[in-house]
Amino acid sequence: MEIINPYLFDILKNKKFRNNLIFLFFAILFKLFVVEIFENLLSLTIPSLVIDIVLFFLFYQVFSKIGNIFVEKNPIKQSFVILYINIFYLSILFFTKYSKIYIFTNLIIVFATIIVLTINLTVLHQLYFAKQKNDISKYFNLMYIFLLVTSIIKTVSTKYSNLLPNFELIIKFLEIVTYLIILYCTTKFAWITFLYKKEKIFLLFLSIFIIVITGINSYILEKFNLIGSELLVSISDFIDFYLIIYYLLIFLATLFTLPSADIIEEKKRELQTLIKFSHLSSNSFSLKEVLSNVNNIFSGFFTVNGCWIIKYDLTDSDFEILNKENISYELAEKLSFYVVTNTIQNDFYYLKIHEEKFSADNKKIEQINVLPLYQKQKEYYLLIFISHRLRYDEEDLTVLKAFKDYIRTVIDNVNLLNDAIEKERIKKELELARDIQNKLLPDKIPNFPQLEIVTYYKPAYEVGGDYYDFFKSNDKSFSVVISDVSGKGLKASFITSEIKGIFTVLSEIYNSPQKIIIKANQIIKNIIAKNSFITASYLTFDFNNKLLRFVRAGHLPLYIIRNNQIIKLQPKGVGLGILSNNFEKFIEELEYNILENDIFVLITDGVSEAQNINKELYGFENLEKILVSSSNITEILNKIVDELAKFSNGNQSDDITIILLKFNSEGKND
Amino acid sequence: MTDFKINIDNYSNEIVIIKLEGYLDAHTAPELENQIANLVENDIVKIIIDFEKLNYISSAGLGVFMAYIEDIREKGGDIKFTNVPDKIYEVFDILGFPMIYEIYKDSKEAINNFNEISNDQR
Repeated sequence: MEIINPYLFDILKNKKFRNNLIFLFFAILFKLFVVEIFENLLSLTIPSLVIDIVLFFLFYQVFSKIGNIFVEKNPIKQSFVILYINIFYLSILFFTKYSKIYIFTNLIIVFATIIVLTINLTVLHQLYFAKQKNDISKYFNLMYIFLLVTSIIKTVSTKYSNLLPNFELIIKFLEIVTYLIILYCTTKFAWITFLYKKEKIFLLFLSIFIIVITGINSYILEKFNLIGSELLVSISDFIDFYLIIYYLLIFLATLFTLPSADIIEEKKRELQTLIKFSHLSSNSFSLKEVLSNVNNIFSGFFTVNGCWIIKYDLTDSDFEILNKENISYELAEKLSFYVVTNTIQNDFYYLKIHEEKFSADNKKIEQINVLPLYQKQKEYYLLIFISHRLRYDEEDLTVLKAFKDYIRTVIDNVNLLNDAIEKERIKKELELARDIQNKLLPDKIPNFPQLEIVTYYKPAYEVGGDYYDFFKSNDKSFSVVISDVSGKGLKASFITSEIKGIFTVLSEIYNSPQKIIIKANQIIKNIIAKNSFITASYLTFDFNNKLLRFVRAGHLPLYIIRNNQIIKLQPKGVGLGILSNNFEKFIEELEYNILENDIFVLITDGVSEAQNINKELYGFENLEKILVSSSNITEILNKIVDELAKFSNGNQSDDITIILLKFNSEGKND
Repeated sequence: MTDFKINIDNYSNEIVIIKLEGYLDAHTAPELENQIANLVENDIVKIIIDFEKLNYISSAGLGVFMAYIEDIREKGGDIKFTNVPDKIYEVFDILGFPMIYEIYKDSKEAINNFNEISNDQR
């Protein structure tokens, strides 16, 4: 019980409550000094009655508020409060009866009676409303009014019987009506339906105790006439009647509903289990985790003694126990084997066991229940459980089916989520690969005074097979390499990174483009798949002699634009990685004089083989037209890129690389 | 793929003519590669490829002919090209194919060439 309750402070702050408290204080003082002392001297019966009524009201006001703090919402605990308060009352009665203290005895009993009555009433009031769905307050209030009115009239009539001779009948009538209303009120004990079996058994004993204690109290009060106040005696009688009848009915009702307690308990647990399910889907990402939670939750179902989930693979007839609750691994394995040796059905089914070997804790297992949860191709996920329950009715099957359907949805969601995560992961990895590959290409075009250079590179997928690079050996010599791995995407990009290594090293060692290409072929032939190849062009500018040395290994020709005329250089040469022998025989190094304002154009076949919707190729003619349209290489490049985008309508099928270089010996390029 | 067709003409026990039609690219190349692999496995290594009806060849398509050329030549066979359209010849030329493969006007010439070689060997 939470005795220190913030609610206490709340009610102390209530002005009405504080006023009641003060009134109560003065009323007690008044009763103490005025009524008690002078009652015998002056025959103050009427003031005494009035003060009793006022006191009762004030006590009720105060204690029903305070009672709310102590009394919990649990009916069992509330019944306990009734028991305690009556035991307390009994001890007060005994104390005052047999103790030597005679001063204030009457007063103590009066106050104790009022406190006990108010608390009893408060608790009965709460029990009356417990688990009631409709508003039935009017009956209780009616009972309350009749109880008071009858008691007051009864008190008055006994004191002034000579004045009101014909009151007897009216009082009898009022008493009967009050008892009837009390009887009606005692039938409100719906809350016992919601108790667990254990609580019900407990309640049986509790009701007996309450009836006995209340009976004793009532008997003592009547026999020894301990309370001076007629009013309180009357109220006390009614309340005791209420209590005894109420707990008698509860006792009987509990006794009769005890056999059905198990079923109610089970339904309650099922409901809670189903509520737990709603949390399943949002919590897990892995199938294993979901199934583990499923098993955990299911163990609260159908008085399950043990349950476990297996994954059964039909292809190799092998099963795996994914997780288990309340069962040993050995037994689960034995029983699983029994399940998979029988035919697996689609919906819930059970298998009767007649063999002795299946037993746990000296208990023979008569039946195993199988709930197939999920099937993915030839993989079955089966929930197997053993239970005290051997028979399953329509309702159970509906619950099991709902359970199964729900699990299926959850698993589907998990699978979808995992697919999405996997896709995202691949996307991330490709992005990483692209980042790495972008580092393969020169991040900055080297500053070479005699050459103006612009480049464009765009892979068809995240990563590509095109590669270009610039090598500056000294102030007078500058080399450019461009290459294209057949194929595209990830496979090609792996080769691309090797190509970078090969050309970087070879350009350091050799000066001759021809030698570099021949060596490159030897290396590449060993690392590349039989059905793929690499085309490459290697150019070295010798600015001292104004000479270009050019080697082409199966790559597209080199375009030179000189005075708005196109010169196409296509020395003989075979792609890299095709031939292991005699490659050098087919490679030719071309020497070419270069002039001021010569523009050199290198492309990969992503340009010439760009396709439009009708599968037509962009070709060289269109390209050549653009090449002679301007002498500004940035302008030319932009035009090519724009045209390609327009032509292929954004549908790029191959990696595109374009390099334009413009020669100006003065080192002044614009 | 509907835009690519392979017609195999078993000219003789030894010589096979493969007629290509449509688009030979990364999607359709494996189909052709499988066909050639089959032939090589069955020791049919005198292969003539007819390009007459081929519209387009990509680098992946070109790769098919390189994949088995060394095996085929080791077994005494060869891949010979016939009826190569100008556009495709241009591609071959850039890559250096004319230096690696024999290219004939039509299949008759290619067959004659195969037969001449066999006669010489006898």
